[in-house]
Amino acid sequence: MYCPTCGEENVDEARYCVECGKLMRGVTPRAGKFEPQGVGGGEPESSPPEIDNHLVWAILATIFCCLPFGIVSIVYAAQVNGLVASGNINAASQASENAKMWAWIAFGVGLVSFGGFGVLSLGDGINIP
Amino acid sequence: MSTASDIISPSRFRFSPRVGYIALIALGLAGVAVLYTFDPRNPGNYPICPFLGLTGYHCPGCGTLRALHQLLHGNVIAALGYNPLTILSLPFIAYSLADGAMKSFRVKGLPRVFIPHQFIWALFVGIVAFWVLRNVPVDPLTVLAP
Repeated sequence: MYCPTCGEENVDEARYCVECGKLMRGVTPRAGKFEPQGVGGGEPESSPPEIDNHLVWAILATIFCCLPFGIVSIVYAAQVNGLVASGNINAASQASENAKMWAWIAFGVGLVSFGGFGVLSLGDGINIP
Repeated sequence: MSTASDIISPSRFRFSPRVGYIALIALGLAGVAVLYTFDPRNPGNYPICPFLGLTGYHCPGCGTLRALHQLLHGNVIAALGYNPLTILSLPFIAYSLADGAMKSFRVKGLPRVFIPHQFIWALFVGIVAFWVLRNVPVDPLTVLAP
């Protein structure tokens, strides 16, 4: 189920959100989507749930890790917000997880390549990270 | 009354975001001190970008260290010249990190901004275009190279 305050996914029995710490009371477990609050069958009037797209980590990875994996994370971040806007919350959460995963991959590969290849190049004369 | 499962629940273990943000702030301050002191233009101060070393092409992040070094010394124009992408993204990065750090300390975060996905796709296209164009050795485009 998702935190009503920040939109972070939590386990069903969670009492407090792991992301923002707010009480999870009133959230029905297994609630895959947010019920529209509008009266009658019109357009949903509730604001979209906040699912983290991890965009900042994608950008940081792109700027500091010099390898294309941060770009993959940006693509998933865009998907998160597109899916949230269209109300597809489960798919948005999945894209959110992918965005987070690729940001970590970018940082990991970046660290390994700087640690391996990069340090070997120290004192090599060129110096452009 | 709390039970053991309320306190210890291995399946719910997560790396504490608060510890992560404290480590990030410490690393960031150390990085600022190093970057202020040691000029990346001097060879041998920092490792070379692996992408540049392997391919010979600039990546979208190339010039970041030199740009930040110039910014720390107050030279905004020179910083933009090394990597405009880095400098322009700094306010957004700062906002997002401040929001995350505040939330990890159970403080109410900054107002949440929902970015329409079209803007993120535009950012994606912009970064890829920047990546390609800064490697083109034709005169007006060479300003994009670090």
